[in-house]
Amino acid sequence: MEAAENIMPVESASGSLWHRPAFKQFILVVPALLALFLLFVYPISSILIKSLFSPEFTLKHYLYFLKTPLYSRVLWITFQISVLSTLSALVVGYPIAYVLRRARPGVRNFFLLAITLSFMISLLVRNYSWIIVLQRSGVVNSVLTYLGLIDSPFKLLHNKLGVMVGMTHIFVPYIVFPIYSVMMGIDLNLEKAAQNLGASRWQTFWRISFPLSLPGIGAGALLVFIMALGFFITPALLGGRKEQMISNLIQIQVVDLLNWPFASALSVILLLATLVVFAIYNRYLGVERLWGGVKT
Amino acid sequence: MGYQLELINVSKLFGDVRAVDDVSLSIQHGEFLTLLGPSGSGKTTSLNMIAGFEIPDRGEILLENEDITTVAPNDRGIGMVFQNYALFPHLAVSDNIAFPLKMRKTPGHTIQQAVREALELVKLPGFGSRYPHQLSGGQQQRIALARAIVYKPKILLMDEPLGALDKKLRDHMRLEIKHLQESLDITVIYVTHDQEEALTMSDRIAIMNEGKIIQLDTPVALYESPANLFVADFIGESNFLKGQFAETDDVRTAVETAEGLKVWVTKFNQAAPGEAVSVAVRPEKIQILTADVPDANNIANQFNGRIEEIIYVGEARIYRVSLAPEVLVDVKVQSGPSAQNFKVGGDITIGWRIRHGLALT
Repeated sequence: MEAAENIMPVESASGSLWHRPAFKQFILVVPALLALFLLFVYPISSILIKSLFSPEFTLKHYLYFLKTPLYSRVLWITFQISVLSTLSALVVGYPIAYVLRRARPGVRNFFLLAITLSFMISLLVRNYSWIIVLQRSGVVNSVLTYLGLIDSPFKLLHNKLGVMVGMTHIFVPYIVFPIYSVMMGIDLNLEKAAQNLGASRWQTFWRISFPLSLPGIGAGALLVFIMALGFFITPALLGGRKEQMISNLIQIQVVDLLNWPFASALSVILLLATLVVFAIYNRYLGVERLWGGVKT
Repeated sequence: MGYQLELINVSKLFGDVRAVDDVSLSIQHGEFLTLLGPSGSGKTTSLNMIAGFEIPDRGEILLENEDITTVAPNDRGIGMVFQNYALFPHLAVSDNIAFPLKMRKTPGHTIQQAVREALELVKLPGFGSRYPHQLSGGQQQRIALARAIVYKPKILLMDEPLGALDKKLRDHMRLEIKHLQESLDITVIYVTHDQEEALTMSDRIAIMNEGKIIQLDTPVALYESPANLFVADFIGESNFLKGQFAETDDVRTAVETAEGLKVWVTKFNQAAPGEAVSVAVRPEKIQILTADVPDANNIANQFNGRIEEIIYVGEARIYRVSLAPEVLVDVKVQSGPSAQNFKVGGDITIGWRIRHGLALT
């Protein structure tokens, strides 16, 4: 204590704000705070304000949302598609991560690069590619017709199937990486040990490898599910009228109807839905796992 | 008595590297056999082939006269303790130990009983509900051991199980593993690069290098009569004096070094004069010859030298003595009141008996 008191007066003697350690530390955080404020706090609060004041305080936009069956149905569809596309991304992504974990380094790096590359291709391009593949005269239908497996082309586009295919394709990399990184942290000797102790390959997977990879599944699923809730391009391009999600409604309100307050209310509802999912995840799995703080 | 486990001309290639090269090995029931060698000598690969994690490219492995060369690891019933223990982090200690029993569809009450007994055997009763990350390294080691023996495997493989522990704990666990092995009457194949571990625990040691077994013998035989330079160098400390064979009489053979030192060893039958040879002498077999040493005259190899360095290692002192330029010999003398009068730079006479020098070609 004595020593601390001896040091402290130096600051008051110089008197300058610039020389206080606390201030110096604060300066370092300023850019981050500024970015946080400009990119998150300001836009979100302005949306919140727009949805609640016009110009007096009102809940009419929220009441309108609740009263109109169409909107709750869209919210329900949004959830449905989000759950389904998360699950299908998991089904596709998990085996990829599993195989990558066990691949030779060269093979592994090649495929990791390929997956990373898919991040860099525009969403729009990827969705349009699916239109070419899935349309009535597209690759899938022509091949099936040519092989004589079907008489008339399947409807693969502008329905739930089209949306699911498109969204799964986009989400797979997002789900592969968290699972892969968790798997990299699992000692492969554990699998050897399980086999040595009498477990078949199948038992080894279900009792050891799978439970240990659950944090990765949780993190990937959360990430993808939250992205899916706000997804917009894929349902717009590959979905039909029945597959429009809440973001598409927001777009219509903003672009076509110029109803900004209602669009803001819809955005707030979407944000709340996202926060609810996040809270549930945090309650049962712990958010710190998302940032790699895996508890073992 | 037949052998419990036999490796017959087993080879394993990784790319162009012969990880294990034509290894044959027979192990009896209840034996403690150690595979000892530097890293990359093929000892872990050999162990992995016995466990079934690697399939040999050539040769076969017999367990109680049955060919198990290609049998899956989970159908072999050979227990294993891994270097980093490989405890399942998401399972409590009791579930870890119960794992092999559950895989064998053992009834629940039997499992509980067996887990309790196994925990008592490794002296950690009451630890069943903890998780591996709540245990110290030594405790994890014991749990890994309990898990490996709970289903009473025929053979227990151990891959450097003490490598991650500190010296004191390692010394303690060594004896405990040995006692456990004796009381359970289980065959152990133990892999280590620590010669001290190998010497204290094993019934027999197989010295491996570059995929081959260099010498397979009891610890005493390996230490006292190593088959070649590699073994003499690898097991314990040795002084090596390079030279060539000179004359041989009825009982002894002389080796002459380039510096003109003449060293007598026990008669070497194939000693062709002029052939290159090294004489290995253990530092603790060399005596410092002073006036009060009895029958110093019977010590055939006597040399004058200069003390270059004195290293104090606690229980002993090591005198580094130069017999000629570039010829340094370590002499290890037990610490005691008698060994005090030597100083660095002083002259000294050292010597060793004929039988303590080993000619190795």
